[in-house]
Amino acid sequence: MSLARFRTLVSGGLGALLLLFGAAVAQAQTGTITGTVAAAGDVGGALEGARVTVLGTNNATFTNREGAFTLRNVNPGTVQVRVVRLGFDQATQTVTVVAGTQATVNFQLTASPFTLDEIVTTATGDTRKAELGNVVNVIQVDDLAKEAPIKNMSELLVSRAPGVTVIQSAGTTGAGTRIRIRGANSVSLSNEPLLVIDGIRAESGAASSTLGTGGQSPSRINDINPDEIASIEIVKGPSAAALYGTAAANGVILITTKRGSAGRPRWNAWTEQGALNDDNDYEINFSPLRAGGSPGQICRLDQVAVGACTISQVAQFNPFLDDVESPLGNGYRRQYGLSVSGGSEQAQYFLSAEQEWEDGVFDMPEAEEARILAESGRTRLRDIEKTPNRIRKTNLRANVTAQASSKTQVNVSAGFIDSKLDLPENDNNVLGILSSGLNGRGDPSVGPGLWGFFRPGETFNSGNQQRTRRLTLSGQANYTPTSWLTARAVVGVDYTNRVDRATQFFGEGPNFGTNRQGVISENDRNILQYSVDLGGTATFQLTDDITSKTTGGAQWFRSSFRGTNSFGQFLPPGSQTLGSGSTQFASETTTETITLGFFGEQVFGYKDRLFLTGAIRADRNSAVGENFGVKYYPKAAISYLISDESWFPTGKLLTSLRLRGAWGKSGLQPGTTAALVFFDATTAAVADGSDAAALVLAGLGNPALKPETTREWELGFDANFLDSRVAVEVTTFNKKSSDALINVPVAPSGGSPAARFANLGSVTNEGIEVTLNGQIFTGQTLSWDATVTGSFSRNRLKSLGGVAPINLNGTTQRAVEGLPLGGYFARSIRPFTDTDGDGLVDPSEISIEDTLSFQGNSAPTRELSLATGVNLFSSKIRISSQWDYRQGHLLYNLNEEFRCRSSRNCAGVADINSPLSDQIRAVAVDAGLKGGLATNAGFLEDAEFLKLREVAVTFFAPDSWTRALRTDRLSLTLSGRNLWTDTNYSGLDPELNGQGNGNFAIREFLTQPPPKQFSARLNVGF
Amino acid sequence: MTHTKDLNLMRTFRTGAGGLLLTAATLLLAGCESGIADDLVNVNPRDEIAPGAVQTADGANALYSGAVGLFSVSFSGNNGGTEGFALMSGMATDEWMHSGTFSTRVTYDQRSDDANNGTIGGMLRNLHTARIQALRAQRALLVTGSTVAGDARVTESLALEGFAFLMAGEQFCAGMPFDGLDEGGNLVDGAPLTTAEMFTEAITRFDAAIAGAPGAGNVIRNFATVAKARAMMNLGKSQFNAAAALLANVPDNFQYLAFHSTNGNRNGIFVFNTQNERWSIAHNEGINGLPFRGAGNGTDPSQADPRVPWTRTGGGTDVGFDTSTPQYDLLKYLTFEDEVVVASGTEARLMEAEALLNAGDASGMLAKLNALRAGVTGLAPLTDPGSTTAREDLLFREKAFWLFAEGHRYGDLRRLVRQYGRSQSAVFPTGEFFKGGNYGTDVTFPINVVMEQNKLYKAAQDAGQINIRGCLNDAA
Repeated sequence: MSLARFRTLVSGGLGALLLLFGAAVAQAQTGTITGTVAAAGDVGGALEGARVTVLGTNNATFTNREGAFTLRNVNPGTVQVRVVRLGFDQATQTVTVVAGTQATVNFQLTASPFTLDEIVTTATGDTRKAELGNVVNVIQVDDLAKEAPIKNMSELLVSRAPGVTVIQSAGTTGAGTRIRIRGANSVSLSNEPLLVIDGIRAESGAASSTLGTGGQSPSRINDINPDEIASIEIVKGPSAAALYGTAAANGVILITTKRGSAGRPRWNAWTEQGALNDDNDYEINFSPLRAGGSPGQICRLDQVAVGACTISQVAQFNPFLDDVESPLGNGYRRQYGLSVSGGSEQAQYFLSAEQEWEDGVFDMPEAEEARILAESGRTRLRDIEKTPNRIRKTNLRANVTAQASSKTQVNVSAGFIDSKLDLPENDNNVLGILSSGLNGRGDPSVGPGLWGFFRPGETFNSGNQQRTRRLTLSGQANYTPTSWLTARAVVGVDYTNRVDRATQFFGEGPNFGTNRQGVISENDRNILQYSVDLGGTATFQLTDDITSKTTGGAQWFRSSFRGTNSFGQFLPPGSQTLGSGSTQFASETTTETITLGFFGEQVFGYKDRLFLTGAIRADRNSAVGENFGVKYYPKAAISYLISDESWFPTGKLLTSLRLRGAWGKSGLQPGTTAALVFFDATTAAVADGSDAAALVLAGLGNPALKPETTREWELGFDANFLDSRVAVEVTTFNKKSSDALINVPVAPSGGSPAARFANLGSVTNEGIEVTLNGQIFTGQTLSWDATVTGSFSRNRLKSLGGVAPINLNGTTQRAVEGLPLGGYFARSIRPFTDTDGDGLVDPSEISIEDTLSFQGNSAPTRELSLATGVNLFSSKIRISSQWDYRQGHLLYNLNEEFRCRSSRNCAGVADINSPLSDQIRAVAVDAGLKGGLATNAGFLEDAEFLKLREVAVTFFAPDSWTRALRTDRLSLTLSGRNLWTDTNYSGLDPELNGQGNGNFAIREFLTQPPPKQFSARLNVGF
Repeated sequence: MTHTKDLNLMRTFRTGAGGLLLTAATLLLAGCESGIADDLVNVNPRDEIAPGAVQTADGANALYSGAVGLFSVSFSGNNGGTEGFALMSGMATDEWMHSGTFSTRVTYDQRSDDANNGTIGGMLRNLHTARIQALRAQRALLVTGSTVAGDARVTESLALEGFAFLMAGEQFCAGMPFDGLDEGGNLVDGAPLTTAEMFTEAITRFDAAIAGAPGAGNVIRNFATVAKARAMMNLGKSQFNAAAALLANVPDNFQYLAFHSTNGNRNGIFVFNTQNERWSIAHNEGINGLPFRGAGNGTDPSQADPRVPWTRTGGGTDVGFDTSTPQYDLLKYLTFEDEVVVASGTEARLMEAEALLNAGDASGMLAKLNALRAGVTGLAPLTDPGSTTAREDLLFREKAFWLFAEGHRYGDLRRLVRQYGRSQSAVFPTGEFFKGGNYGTDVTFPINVVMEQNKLYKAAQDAGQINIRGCLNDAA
């Protein structure tokens, strides 16, 4: 039945396409409109990049550098031409067009800080933001990348849009990030948003690595060079993303790369030189030496409390602050880039090349280098041993736009990335430098001594390198056979080749297991995202007041993941090759997903102020199962520019007001084979040293599976106040995932596989997002602007469909009905009384609840950010900063727990001056002290923080300088990042995640905190 | 007019957009055809093997190989991720001390555990994975032409399935459920079993294996026989004599082994002890522990008991993964490929000795023990210590050394409490724990909290029958 409906839809789509062909051959004689667009008043000057449109048609173009435009194929008669440009009020003029002739019309736009007329990209093409019923946040990247300390996409996205939460996993150079838009929708499937670059889907894996370097996994979104991006649009949820189809339930990040405009070649060169400095407050390692004890014997505070021993001296040491021992140095960052854009009216180009080097803050101590050389007999260390964390990246881009004919425009975008990332060992990893630094002792006589496991000379030896080569290639053709009809086709592929190689050569590095006998692993990954997107849009002026825009199309996406794993162990001395290992393994992994979708959208406009949208998308997917037929995702939206009504009281105070609302559905599919029972091949020793081929059950399957569906509605308004000097955008949303695909654990009594997907329960997210933009003061000498974004969100697991609570990260993070997904759980510590008043915690004074209870959210529920800038001296100097505040969540400080429980070197165990709360949690976590009933509740800490993320000062050279230097533009930006944090969280940083970029798991555990970053960037345009 | 249309169409085709539109039309046309849309979303996953593959004789044999391999993992551990039955038995008692850092291992070495321990949960799942695989192998072999009586693979799978019940009964608390398989191979929730029920279920399967493996020299028959006797010994002293009687035909040199290989399932005891240095041989652990490192203070390998040979590398200074606990490596297993004894003629003789002691025949017991010792250079004959309690201590001491690192110690210490009236604090490690704090009082492993997904177990829990450690009861 569903297949039949699908075919019907296909037939309809075919009819629409044939209509396009018909239209192509049924055109009449037309005319041309030319003109210029300039800024009015004191601002003056030609306006490049203004969008010029013949109203009621698809006929549109952009102005060139001289502000000139040409609209061809305009139907004869009286038409209205509208000009829209960011930072200016829109303008509309009436023009009479005579067939075969050229009409001229010129525009002067009035500067307006905030308007509703921004052009945004949608699944059906470019659209005025005012016509959308949903909110779309636009980040204009060009200026940001030049004037703010932004080195990757994570830093570009963090705190730029309300409802978009970016969680950096570590301060390590090259570490990735986790992105959530309007919270987590899915218990078991990815909650990462979809990434679209120049119209095609792109790889955005959040934990893209097989290297055993803990949570420091890179994210593929950080491959993208911010300097190549023109703008980013964030489509937040199903109400907006329905037409992006399956996989868009988590929102969509749309990236548009830069394009050239007609004119002489315009060169832009830049260089950035920067330093990284880690002055984080690393915890001190304590050793409470036992009075009268044997060398190295300690006496814990809980033992003092019960009179078991006394402390003679509390020895202290902090290897990160020690001049000789510290593995921290200054990191260095360099970047060089060159771009050129230009072209003719027929073809424009944008070419860009950039190289980036960054060395992280880890630096081999000189004494360690000398020790290793002496012990190994080598004459020099490899560079990677001296600086184990660094990235070398090259980004190339070539974008070409060509007017293939008067009706056909072709855009080709090609981006290439070659990245070589060296990652240190860290996080939950005995080889990690933080592992040893934070778990050393305060005195060399205690336990392992000043370093917990290995010294820097050993830990820096392990090589972990990821080489990534990525080509993103897309082509888009827009064909406009008539003024009312446009057909578009986008095809492209995003190809990522990733090689993860980990090495420890014979006789070198940490003496861990058999590693010093030599071990190499190399895992190759080929990740391909293919996109084919075909569609057409017909626009009609149905009556004087009513316009109609009809869009239909088809999309085909294929995601392919193929990998091979190879491993060689027990290498001969001197060997650096896999094949030389006396023990070798190889394996492979493949995953493939395909989605085929058809969509149609109808928009009616009334008097250019009321817009009604209805749309539907039908998807088929490669997921196999009885219920994986066609999935429909509908959408409806309304946008009402109520302030355009004559009766509406606009004025200086309230300049404009738009009301909007949207409703839509989107979905997520499980893996292709989630519905199937299947076996894995393996080997098993069935006799003395003899392997046999074996099969083991690997998938329990669930033939009843169907896609997870997320529906969302949102309501909001956009209002401009005080002559459009202040703009407010308020949105409330409510999102619900139904038939939630949950990877339900199988009881251990059933053996493995340990889980099976089932459609159970539901998840809701609701919240409010606010953006407040203001030109606080505007003057020739001084102007001040500010943007405040804030959001409140509430995530709840409404139902688990009757299954028992699911552990998402041991029992510390769980999925429990009625509570936030991934919330923290622990046995609570009952109120403590120091009954003997000795200022020490006797284990008998502590009482712990028997059962686990909810302790708090793991994701912030309230976020507020402020980006503000001051322009001085006719905008020759700009000083800007970004502040970020998050609240309503906890972070698991496993660092300190481990130090207290295992290394016995934390203040709560050793320092008699430590607060009772530190002593309480140190005792409560020790099962041996509490008769087997332990709790980590004391280490689930409030992670509220206020951060000064960025400060930048940009000097724009005066015209006399640029003329003297024969340049067009010259600017110098001095900036700093990660400058200040205010928090009660006692760990290294309240944003760390030692479990990388997984779906929910989050904790700080031996994770490198973010270093301060200072840079100087010089931009030269000529 | 017609001519103009044709020209326009040609121009259209000359543009890239025209070509792409044609592509679109082709795609949509294709989509109209039945099956074409299916083709457009068709994928061919390479990794997964369809169930049909195991419905052949070769496929059934591959399932059997998987059962043997998974049993080996559950018994002696995998390549470093999850320890097995033999390792856990020794860590929770006095055979091993934890020289690693994992808190989940520290707590069970310390005998202070709860149902949230993921490491124990992993071991628990491995045990059932091996059991269910053995069950699937039996089914597959039988439907592809094998018979219980004629195929050692079927009887071995039966015995391995039974051994999983035995391992669970010896180590985990009462309340463990065991899922079954329906006709279609789907899991069927099992109800929580008492400790005695687990041993009874084990015996049922050993009996079936024995019945299908006739002939005195049959290795599987001997394996099932020794394992059955072990299960019977666990059921109570009243069954000692019957158990001993079963063992009469088990030869002294019989061994059933868990096999390992470098590329497959490595010897987990070697991996966790010698390679990863997370398990270190204990010596007089927790007041009650036996001196497994030999005479003196256990620091001289030349004084080691020949049944527990060991070394400390680095010139006698090696420390474990935690960089502080002295690391003592067992020389019983020297490579990834070394076998681990699961059941043996030695074990049979030791059970016979225990039955003799229980029957009041102290000299018979001594004779059995000394007969074993006579086969090893450096082991002097034992003399009667005189009292019943001392004889019991002697017997269990001998058993501990003979079967070191073979997964017997936890079950034996529990039996000392359950059957011999000893207190847990008199036989298990107790007092101050060497990593700080004190030893707890656990005498069983808890049942992991994820077991709540078993509906029958959850019902018992909801009815208040399951305690905080996930147990019906957690007595010895």
